[in-house]
Amino acid sequence: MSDPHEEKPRVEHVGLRSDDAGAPVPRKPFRWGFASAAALIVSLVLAGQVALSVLGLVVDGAATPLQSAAFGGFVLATAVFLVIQREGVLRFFRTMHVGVTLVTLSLLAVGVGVLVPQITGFEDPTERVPDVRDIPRDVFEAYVPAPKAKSDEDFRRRPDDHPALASLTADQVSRLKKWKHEYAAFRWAEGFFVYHMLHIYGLGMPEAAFPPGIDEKLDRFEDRYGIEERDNREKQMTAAFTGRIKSQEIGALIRENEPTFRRAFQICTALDLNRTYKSNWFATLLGLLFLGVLSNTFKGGPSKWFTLEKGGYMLVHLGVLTLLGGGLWSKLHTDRGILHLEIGKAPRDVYDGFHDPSKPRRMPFALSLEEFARRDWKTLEIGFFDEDFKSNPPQYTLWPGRKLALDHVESDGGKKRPRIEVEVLEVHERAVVGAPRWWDAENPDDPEGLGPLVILDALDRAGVAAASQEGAQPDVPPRSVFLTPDPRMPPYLDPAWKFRLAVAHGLSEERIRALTNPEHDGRIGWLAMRVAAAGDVEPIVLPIRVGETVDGPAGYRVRVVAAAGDLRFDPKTKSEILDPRPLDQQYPENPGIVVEILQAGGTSERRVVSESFDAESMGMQKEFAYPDLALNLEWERWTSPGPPRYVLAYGPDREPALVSEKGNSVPVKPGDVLPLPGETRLTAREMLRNVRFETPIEYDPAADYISGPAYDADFYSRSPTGAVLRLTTERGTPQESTRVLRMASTETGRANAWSSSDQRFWIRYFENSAAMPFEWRSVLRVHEKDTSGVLQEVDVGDPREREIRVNDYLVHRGYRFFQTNADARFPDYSGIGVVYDPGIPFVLYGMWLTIFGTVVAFVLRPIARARAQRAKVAA
Amino acid sequence: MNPFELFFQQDVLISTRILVLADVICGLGVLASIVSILFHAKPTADGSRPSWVARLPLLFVVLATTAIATAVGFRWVEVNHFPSQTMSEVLAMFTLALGVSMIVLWFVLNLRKRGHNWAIVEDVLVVLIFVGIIYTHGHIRTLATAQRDLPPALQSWWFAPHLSCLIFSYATMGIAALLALVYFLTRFWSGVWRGGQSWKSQAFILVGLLVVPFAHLVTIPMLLVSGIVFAGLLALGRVPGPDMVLRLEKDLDDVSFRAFAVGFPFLTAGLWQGAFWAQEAWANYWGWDSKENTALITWLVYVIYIHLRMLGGYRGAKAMSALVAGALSVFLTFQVFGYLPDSQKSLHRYTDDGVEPQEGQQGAPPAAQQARVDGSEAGAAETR
Repeated sequence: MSDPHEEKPRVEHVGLRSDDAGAPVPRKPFRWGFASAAALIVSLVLAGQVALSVLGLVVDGAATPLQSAAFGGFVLATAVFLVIQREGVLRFFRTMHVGVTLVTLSLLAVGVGVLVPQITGFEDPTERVPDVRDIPRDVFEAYVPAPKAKSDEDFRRRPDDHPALASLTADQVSRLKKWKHEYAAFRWAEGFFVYHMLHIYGLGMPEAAFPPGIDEKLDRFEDRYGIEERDNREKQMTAAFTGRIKSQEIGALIRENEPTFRRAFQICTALDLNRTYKSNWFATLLGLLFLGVLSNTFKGGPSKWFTLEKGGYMLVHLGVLTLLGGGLWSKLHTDRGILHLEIGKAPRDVYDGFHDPSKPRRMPFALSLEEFARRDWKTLEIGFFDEDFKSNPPQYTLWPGRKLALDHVESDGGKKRPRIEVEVLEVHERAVVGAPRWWDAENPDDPEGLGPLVILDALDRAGVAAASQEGAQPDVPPRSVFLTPDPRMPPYLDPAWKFRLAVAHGLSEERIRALTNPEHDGRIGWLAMRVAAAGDVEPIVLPIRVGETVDGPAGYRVRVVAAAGDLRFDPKTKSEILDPRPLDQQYPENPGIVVEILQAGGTSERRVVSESFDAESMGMQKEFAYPDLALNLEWERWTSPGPPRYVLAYGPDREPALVSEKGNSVPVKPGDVLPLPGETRLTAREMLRNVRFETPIEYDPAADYISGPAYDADFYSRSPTGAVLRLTTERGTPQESTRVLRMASTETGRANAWSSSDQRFWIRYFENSAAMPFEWRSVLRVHEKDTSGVLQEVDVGDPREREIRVNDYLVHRGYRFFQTNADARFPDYSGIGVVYDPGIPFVLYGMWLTIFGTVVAFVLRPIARARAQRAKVAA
Repeated sequence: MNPFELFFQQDVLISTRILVLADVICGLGVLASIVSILFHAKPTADGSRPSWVARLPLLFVVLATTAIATAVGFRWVEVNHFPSQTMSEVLAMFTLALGVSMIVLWFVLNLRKRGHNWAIVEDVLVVLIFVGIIYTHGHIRTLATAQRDLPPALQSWWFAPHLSCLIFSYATMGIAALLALVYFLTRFWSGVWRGGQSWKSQAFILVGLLVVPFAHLVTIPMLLVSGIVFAGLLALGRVPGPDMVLRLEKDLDDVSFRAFAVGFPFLTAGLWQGAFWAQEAWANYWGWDSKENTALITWLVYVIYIHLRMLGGYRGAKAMSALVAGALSVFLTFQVFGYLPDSQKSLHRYTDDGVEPQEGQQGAPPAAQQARVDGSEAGAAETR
């Protein structure tokens, strides 16, 4: 018999606990909760990050023996664990908390990639933020905070690099530049985001007031173009004004928090957060998600899988599995890049992998470019002669049937009526413009006439020399020169720079003298100055002379240091080349000035301003020391220093005569050679008092307006396009008139422009190459090597089938080719995107399955259930 | 210029003017819905309620939807393409989707069959829809309405179905979230006036309503208006008690789920149609672009909702919280997308005014590349 005072031996029951009395109490089975599931999944993700990184080294042959052994051991241990603990693993993945946690963590991971800007070219799995730990600290701190320079955009070593880079090797320079590029993008994107979060709902955002006088201009703009155009223009201007100030504030926020941004960038780089979707931890997470979906998809027996109850669920899960599986296949086997082709060049089989020319890839066949074209939108601009809007008028894209109503005025009854109505009757892809003809109107006051016009035949020096040889024909035919008294039209400038010629009609002697000896002799032109990041702001426009200083906006003072008729640049020194000759001896081929910009308390900036170059529209303002000051030059060809001036004067009360600066007047009649200095010969062909002008335009009836994606050979035509417009003015009034305008997108014969006879408004038709085009298309040829290794074209279809556009690609041997790049500077160039991705079909099928599954689960199933219920009730 | 002046301006686009007309219809619809609410709330002497009054809200929803659809149709003609490119166009489509969703859900949910109290809930929903439409149209008037040409990537037959599916689903999910909000507000004010709710849950609801992003647009106005309504109910002695709130939780959870179920297939279809389209446009079905990612996040939120509800047994307030979270995600996708760090280089920035889409130039300019490729062709190019 046992001693009751003896301590009873403790009996251990496997899986059971004991209570105080020693009786077994069932152990509560462990249940996965959200926290425990999240902890384990995150651990697995981290383990996956390490394991896949080592695998990458093993595959590349860069792993140490220890790493290889460790990886092998890890794989073996994992396999053994999965086999032994398969029940537990299945139970884990089939727990709701685990499933929801997996989806939640996937959601958060995707969100990370949205909140951290991904590095350029992150699609390339080899792309990383370069390691710059070997760069000396002083070099790093000197270069990274320095303002962005043009040389930073080229990752190679350049002679104009920052001086701090001089001590680095070429590889170090490349890595550091790339690091800075990625950091700058990160810093700006995060600063932009943080700034807007700190100014949530727009609270505290800067508001910039318009300069004085803008409201009046906007009111007139509204009268001309309508209230909605005015509203839109006002919104653009507001965005531009506030955008500039906002950019400054964001820049200040970034500068004030530079160490924080730098640290954040380093952390994001270390954790692969700026290449989230190509990282190993993200791949591991998706792999776990795949396992989770797989574990839950085939629960129960096959008899249950495709019932109406479970069918939708099955299809969705199968779809997700197919999608993820296809995605993995894509990840492992995708290659993409860009193939550069030009019309007429040899076929190419090498493309830039991931758009990087240092990663060439070769295809087993070649492509050549048969055709390429960029088609722009057919556009109309309507402007008013008596308006001095500094901004461009609205641009109206044309299509047959479009109607425009402009220039509203209040009519009787207080209603607004448009004074100008334009209806687009036809649009053609091919227009043939004939030789223009002109004649003098019978009635000198004919409103259809364009006013006085002088037509001269100009023979330059070579032509004159050739014509002077007895019996010889001139090599160069005379060139027609058209001159009008309109001060907006430029005068004739002798190419040899011996004289300048203008035309005057109906002017008094006094005014003719004033024209030959202008009051502002010596004025080289007009300088437009404005302070704005972009948008339509009124500039200050002032006349300038060399050596003078003018007051610009915002306290800027601009001194014209030098001027040149033909400004050139030395690409090596990146400085301007000024002609040493006196200005009056320089033909204004490409006039420009050199200015010194001063602001109170600031340093001076030396800047070159060329008439032909708009730094602001070319995005070059940021290169300047004062980037907010935009300068534009308009050279005055008549008043600027130059050769003698002559005026060909004629009129109703005056016989034609050539008047010189000195006041000499020589009679001229049609057919006479003008007595001008130099060797250029100008013959007065006709002097018209009120010219009527006509340019015949025909349209190819077979070249219909292209509005859709269907193949059309006319897309590749280089001919001008055309439009037929019905123009109605003053409808509903006694002055109502309607006419049909035939226009073409070429300046030949002024086919692209029309102006009203009362000089109130003008219409310009053009293809808008400044904006996003209508479309780019290419027609490709495929070439395969024959048995002797020579490339031969293979028949893959007619041009219709070989054509690619942005939404239509060509497939050949698993490769997909799509339209991706173009460059207006190279009209025969086409950048063809290349994709080799065998996973695409699986992913797409998976997506379709998922869609179908949700329809079954959320639409068909409830309907079937409801019907069954009603049948039950009825029974 | 106020909307009414805009309506009579001859030089304003017809689509803009018709939207003003739709606002007038919505305003009248609010009044009609309030009349319907009062009729349902107040029993008559013989217990009957005129059925034509009960149909007034639906009539005005149909009229408003028709007006918006007409405006969208005119806009289509004015811009010569499916009008969903600019933000103003997309928002107009969204209000159209709100109307269509409400009509669909009117018949799918069939709330009126459940009784007069449910008819009131439905009328409240209609009021919220009308107010949402009026507010959205007001916001549209602050946006640029200039016609913009379709960039090449948008010239696809996927444009209409992709946008339509997504916008319809967003509208339906929004309505489902509104139903959830109706529950939370009822529970909150019931707790305030009748008690029976823990202070923790009251604090949680209040804080959630106040701090959710863009609370000033939706949740705070709803909180204030519902406060006034419940003050009126208190005066009538008709504030629901804890038992009724419990029943309402179950029923509204069921109803909001059914509303969600209408929209979720469209959300799924819209999401993947974007991938089909991207595959055709860029041969890249999923470029992890931030627009794609934010849409995917929204879809995943709703996937979580489904799993919590159907597998985890999460019903009632918990499930409805997930619906509200989903609607929030939709809102962030729409309104915050342009500010997100990774959005700056997104290929999807079509609706942002003043931002040029990044088509036509992927990678370095050709001349520089040409020289490099010519030089490297002779070297080792990887061969597949």
